[in-house]
Amino acid sequence: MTTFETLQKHYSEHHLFARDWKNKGGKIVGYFCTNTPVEFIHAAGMLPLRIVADPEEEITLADTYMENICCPFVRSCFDLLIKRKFDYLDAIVLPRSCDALVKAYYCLLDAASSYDLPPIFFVDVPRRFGQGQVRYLVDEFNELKQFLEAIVGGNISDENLIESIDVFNQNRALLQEVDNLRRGLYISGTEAYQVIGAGFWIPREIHTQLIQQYLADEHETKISPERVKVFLTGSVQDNLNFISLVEDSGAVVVSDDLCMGTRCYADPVQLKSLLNPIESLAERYLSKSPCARVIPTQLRIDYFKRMVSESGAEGVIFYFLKWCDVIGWDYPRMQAELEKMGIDAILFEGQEYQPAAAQRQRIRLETFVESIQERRP
Amino acid sequence: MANTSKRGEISKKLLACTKEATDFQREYYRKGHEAAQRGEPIACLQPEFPFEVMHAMDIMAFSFINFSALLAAKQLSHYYIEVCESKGYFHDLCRYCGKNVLGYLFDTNPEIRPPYGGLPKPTFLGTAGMDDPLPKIGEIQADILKIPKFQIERTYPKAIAKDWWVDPEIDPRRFNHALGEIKRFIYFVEEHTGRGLSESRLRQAVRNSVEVLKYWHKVDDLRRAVPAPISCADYFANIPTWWFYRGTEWAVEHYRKVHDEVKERVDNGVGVIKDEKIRLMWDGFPPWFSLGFFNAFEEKYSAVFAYEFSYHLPLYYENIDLEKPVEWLAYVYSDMFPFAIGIPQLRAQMVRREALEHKIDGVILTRAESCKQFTSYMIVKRTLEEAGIPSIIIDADMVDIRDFDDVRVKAEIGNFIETLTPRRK
Repeated sequence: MTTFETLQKHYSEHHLFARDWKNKGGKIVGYFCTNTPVEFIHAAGMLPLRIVADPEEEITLADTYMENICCPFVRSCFDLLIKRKFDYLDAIVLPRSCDALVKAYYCLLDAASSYDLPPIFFVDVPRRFGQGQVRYLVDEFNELKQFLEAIVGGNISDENLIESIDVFNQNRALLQEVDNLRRGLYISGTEAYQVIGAGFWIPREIHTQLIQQYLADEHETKISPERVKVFLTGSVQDNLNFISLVEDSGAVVVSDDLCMGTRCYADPVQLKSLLNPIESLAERYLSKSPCARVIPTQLRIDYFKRMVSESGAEGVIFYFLKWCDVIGWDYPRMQAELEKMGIDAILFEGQEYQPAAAQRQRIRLETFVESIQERRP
Repeated sequence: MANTSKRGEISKKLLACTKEATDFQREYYRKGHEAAQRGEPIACLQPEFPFEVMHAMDIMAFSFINFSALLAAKQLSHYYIEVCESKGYFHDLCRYCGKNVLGYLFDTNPEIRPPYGGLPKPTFLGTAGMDDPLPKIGEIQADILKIPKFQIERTYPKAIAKDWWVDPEIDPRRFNHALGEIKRFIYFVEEHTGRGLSESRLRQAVRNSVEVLKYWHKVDDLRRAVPAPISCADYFANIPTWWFYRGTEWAVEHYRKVHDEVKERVDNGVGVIKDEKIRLMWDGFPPWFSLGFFNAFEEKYSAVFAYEFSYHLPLYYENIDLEKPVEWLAYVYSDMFPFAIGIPQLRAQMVRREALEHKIDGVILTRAESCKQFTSYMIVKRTLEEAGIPSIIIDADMVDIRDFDDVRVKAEIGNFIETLTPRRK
């Protein structure tokens, strides 16, 4: 099996490594989103495992807790949790990333005893970077540390945290090199997301080793310059359904500002001499590459513009899941900025999480791609 | 102009002081326009902001959410919402706090006459982090108006208080964070307006708020009477008194009158209708474009909307130390509207309590697509079922009449009523 095939396997079979890890006596903490400080989980000697949804699984049990006008991705995740699809978890950590995740947390509390869920911790991450908010998050992280220490039955020292920070920083730096391959058209977006995403379900050390092997492999230019370079933004992309459709339509996803794309490896933690590691982590998690939840929104708009510009993208694809308010409000401003930059965009709004209307999406994508190709000098 | 063929129904209001509340509000807006012309500072705050600070500093304070309700009541919401949607804002985005007023701010059509001459132009904005949309909506509003904004951060509890109404069990860290935010807001206002905040005046404003709240809670208790002395229609019309004019002497006097009128009705056994058979409860924000909806079941079914759960505020606000008004504000702000920040268990706790105490026969739970955070009926429904209280879920936006199928909803509620048995024997 090639290195890529190994990564591909871990990307597509989320539970594979986890079950083996568990059988060998390891502990696993499921988490949502890039706002969870995974360094703490790692420092506790446990495997951080990103909880994602399943487009092939119909949402059923979640309907007794979460209204159907809630984010379908979060509802699917909640549904899988109470169906015990992640039955190997020793704990669950949710950050306050959006209203849907907040609701999921409280619904999980309600469901916990009925569905024998593991202990659940809510990290109340503020939206803005301010002195009061940093202090608040430091306290939150200290509480998370105590929660994890109780799960694992041991202490998390500053040294443990520093080591874990180093592990994740190293991994992030390597993933940045993978990103460079994508931008250089050495690999497709579909391949890149599998390489990046595999790390969510295996130990970071193993992921790092695989990435190093992957980067050492020969990568000839294999993406045709005929393909239209696009930037993908919007709701979470936790599977390849839409990304594959984009690339099957004649485009290549060269970059994004997604939480399972560039934002999961941007912004290393900077250990500062006047701060302890928890304070350094708090500052990093409040100031990292902003998603739509961050205020002021201008930070996100500026980040988006910079990322689009640096990517060399010829077009931007907006993909919004239904009921995704936090991102929806930004769309008009983002679109206006693209117009100023002279970059074409296409919008997919109100999308269902389960695959649907792929044929219609493909037609629109192909038309979008052709229109950009026709305007090329 | 958007199709305006759909119109809401005007409600039947029973209290004389309800009209006074309407008159006061109209006059307040008129004074606001005058103050704007004189170049005085004017605040526009989201509801969970400390309005007491404004009243203590003699700064006229308005709220977009209140104005949104007014736009809906004047049947203008669907027009403004469509103006906003024409700017690229999606259909299912918040309309109550968001698209309604944004449309008003975007609109340049001189033929449209907003109520009360429109919103007096604020000189600064206060936006809260109660949910995902509000901070963003505030930023857009500030951009359009080209005024500074203050964005207040809020926090969330990890555990569910056993009886939040009486003791919210607020974590000291959350309280300290709220205190920091309130102080930061006060500094912002002082810097922006050049006015200083007097602690004694703030203390008085806070005492006024508590006095209003005490009357409000007494009215709530009176509304347990059979027959119901007032319906939701009168209640909702008097909402702005606490939410936006709290801290003022007028609010205290007004709510005392509300209390006295309701008490007189209770003492004399006067109900909304003579032959009350069924008592309903509304859970959610009302359809502001059609408060008459609450009277729609009185004649045919002898059913009264005897109570509601939406903007209610807990008892524990009355018991916080009033000698430290900034701390009082921080305590209140720590957990204001918890049921609106997506804690369905707290909402369920309170809906259940109120339904039992007010002898409710059936609860109408609302599903508002554009207000996802406030729409948390699943756990509420289950809690009510466990308490033996029937409920039904209907689609009802607070300000957007386009998505309100009046005929269908009335038929659903009518069918529901016919399944109910009076509980209060």
